[in-house]
Amino acid sequence: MVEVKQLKKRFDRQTILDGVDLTLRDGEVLCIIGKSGTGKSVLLKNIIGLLKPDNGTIYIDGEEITQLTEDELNTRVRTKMGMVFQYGALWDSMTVEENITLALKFRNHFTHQERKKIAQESLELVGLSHIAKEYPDELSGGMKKRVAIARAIAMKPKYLLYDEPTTGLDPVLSNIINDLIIKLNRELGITSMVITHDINSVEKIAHRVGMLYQGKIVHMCDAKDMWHQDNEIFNKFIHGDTQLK
Amino acid sequence: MIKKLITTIGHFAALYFQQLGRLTILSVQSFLAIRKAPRYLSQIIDAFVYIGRYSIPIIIITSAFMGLVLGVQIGTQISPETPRWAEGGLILRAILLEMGPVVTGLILAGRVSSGIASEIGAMKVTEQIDALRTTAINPVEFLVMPRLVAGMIAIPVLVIYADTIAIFSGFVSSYFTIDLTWTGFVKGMRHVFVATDVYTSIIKGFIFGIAITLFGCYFGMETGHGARGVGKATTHAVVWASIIILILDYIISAVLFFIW
Ligand SMILES: Nc1ncnc2c1ncn2[C@@H]1O[C@H](COP(=O)(O)OP(=O)(O)OP(=O)(O)O)[C@@H](O)[C@H]1O
Ligand SMILES: [Mg+2]
Repeated sequence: MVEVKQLKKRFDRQTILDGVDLTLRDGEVLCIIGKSGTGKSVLLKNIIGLLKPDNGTIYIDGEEITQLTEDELNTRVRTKMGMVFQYGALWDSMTVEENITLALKFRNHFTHQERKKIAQESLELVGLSHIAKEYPDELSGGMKKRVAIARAIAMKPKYLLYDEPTTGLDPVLSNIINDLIIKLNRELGITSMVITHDINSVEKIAHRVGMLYQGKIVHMCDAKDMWHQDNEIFNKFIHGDTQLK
Repeated sequence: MIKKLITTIGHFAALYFQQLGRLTILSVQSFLAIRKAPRYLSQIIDAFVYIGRYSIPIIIITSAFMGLVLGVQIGTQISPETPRWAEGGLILRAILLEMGPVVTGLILAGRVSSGIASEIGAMKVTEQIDALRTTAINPVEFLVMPRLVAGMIAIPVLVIYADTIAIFSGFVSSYFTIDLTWTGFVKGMRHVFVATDVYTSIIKGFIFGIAITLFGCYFGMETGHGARGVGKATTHAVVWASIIILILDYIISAVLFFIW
C-alpha cells in the first residue's frame, strides 16, 4: 500500500502540490485525473523519489520514504516500484532488448541467457516480441510506450506508476494500452497508479479515480460511479466544461 | 541604486557558489564511485573508445602542425651564435612541458567535453536520466564515473602520443628551415632531457583528463530545458573546461617548478 499524506512541493515561486492526500491500495488500478500542468507528473516523481517533497510523508508498505538517500531508495523502493514515463524515456543509444535488460544486469545475478529470456517474455506480454533488436527511434509512439511498459515489468514490480500512457495515441492504440494495463493488473497482480486525462481510459481501467486540482486531491470515488458524483469541479472536468479554471 | 547593485552582485555570487558546490559534490561522488568500477567495465571501455580512440585523428593533425610551427618559429628566432643543434632541446622541452599537454587538452575540451555534455544533456532533457534512477541505476556510477576513469587513462596517453608526433614533426620542420640533421636534433634533445619533463606531460594530461570529463558530465547533468538547454550545456562545458585547463596549467607548472 502506498500512502501519501499532506504532500507539498513548490518550485521557486510556484506551489505545485499543496497538501496531497491519497492511498493506493494493493491490487487496484487508481487513476488520477487533472488538468495539464497541475502537477500530476510531479506527484508521481515524488512517490518514486525522483523529487523530494518540501513537506508531508509518503509511506510505501509502511515505510516512510521521503527521508531516504538515493541508495536506500534504490534498494528499498525502486526494487518494487516501476515507472512508465510520459514520453517513454527509453535510452535511445541502446536497442529495445538492452533497454529492458540493463537494470537486470546491475540488480540481480542473472546470466546473459536469463536476461534475454526475461526481455523476450516482457516483450511478448506487450505484444512486441519481434522488435528486440531495434532502436527506440525506429519505433512509433505507441510502440515506444509499450516498450517502456515492458522495461518496467521486466523488473517484476509490485507497483507500477504510469504517466499518461494513452496520451497522443489513436483510439485503437489507446485501447491496446488500456487492455495491457488491465492484463498486468489482473494476471501479474501489479498495483497501478495511472495519471491520465483520457476519461475513456479511466472508465475502462480504473477501480477508483481521483482528481488533482490546485495542488490537492479534491475528489476520489469508485470509477463505476464516476458519472453520478456531486463534486462540482470533478463533474466539470469529466464533462470537459470550459468554465473550469 | 547601490542597494540594487549589491543585491545583483550577491545574487550572482550565490549562484556561483551554488554551482561550485554542486560541481564539488559531483566530483566527490564520481571519485567515490570508482570503487565500483569493475561492475561498469563495459561502460568504461565504451567511454575509453570514445575519448581515446576516436580522438586519435584530430590529435595527429593538431600535434603534427604544432611541431611544424614550433620548428619554424624557434628556428627563425635563435641567434646565429647559438649552435643549431640547440633547437632539438628547445623543441623537446617546449612540447613536453607546455605545448603537448595544453594544446591536446584544449582540443579535447572541444571534442570530448562538448560530446559528453551534449550526450548527457540530451539524456537529461528527455528524462532518460530519471529513467535510470527509477530502475535503480545510479547515473553518477553509470554515466559519470566511467567517463572520468576513461579520461584519466586515455588523456595522458593521448598527450604522450601527441608529444611524440609533435617532436618528430618539429624535427622535420627544423630540417627544412635551418638544415638541422637528425643527429644534431638528437644531440640537442640529449643535452637538455630530464625524465621529469615526461612526468610533467603525464601529470598534466592526467589532471586535464579529470577536468575535461568532469566539466562535460557536470554541465550535461545540469542541463536546463529543451534543445537550447543542451546547446548551452555544451558551450559551457567547452568554455569552462578550456579556462580551467589554462588555469590548472599555470598552477601545475608553478607547483612542479618548486618541487623539481
Ligand atoms: N523540475 C521542475 N522545475 C521547475 N518547475 C517544474 C519542474 N517540474 C515541473 N515543474 C512545473 O510544475 C508544474 C506541473 O508540472 P507537471 O509536469 O507535473 O504537470 P502535469 O500535470 O503532469 O501536466 P501534463 O498533463 O501536461 O503532463 C508545471 O507548471 C511545471 O512547469
Ligand atoms: Mg505530466
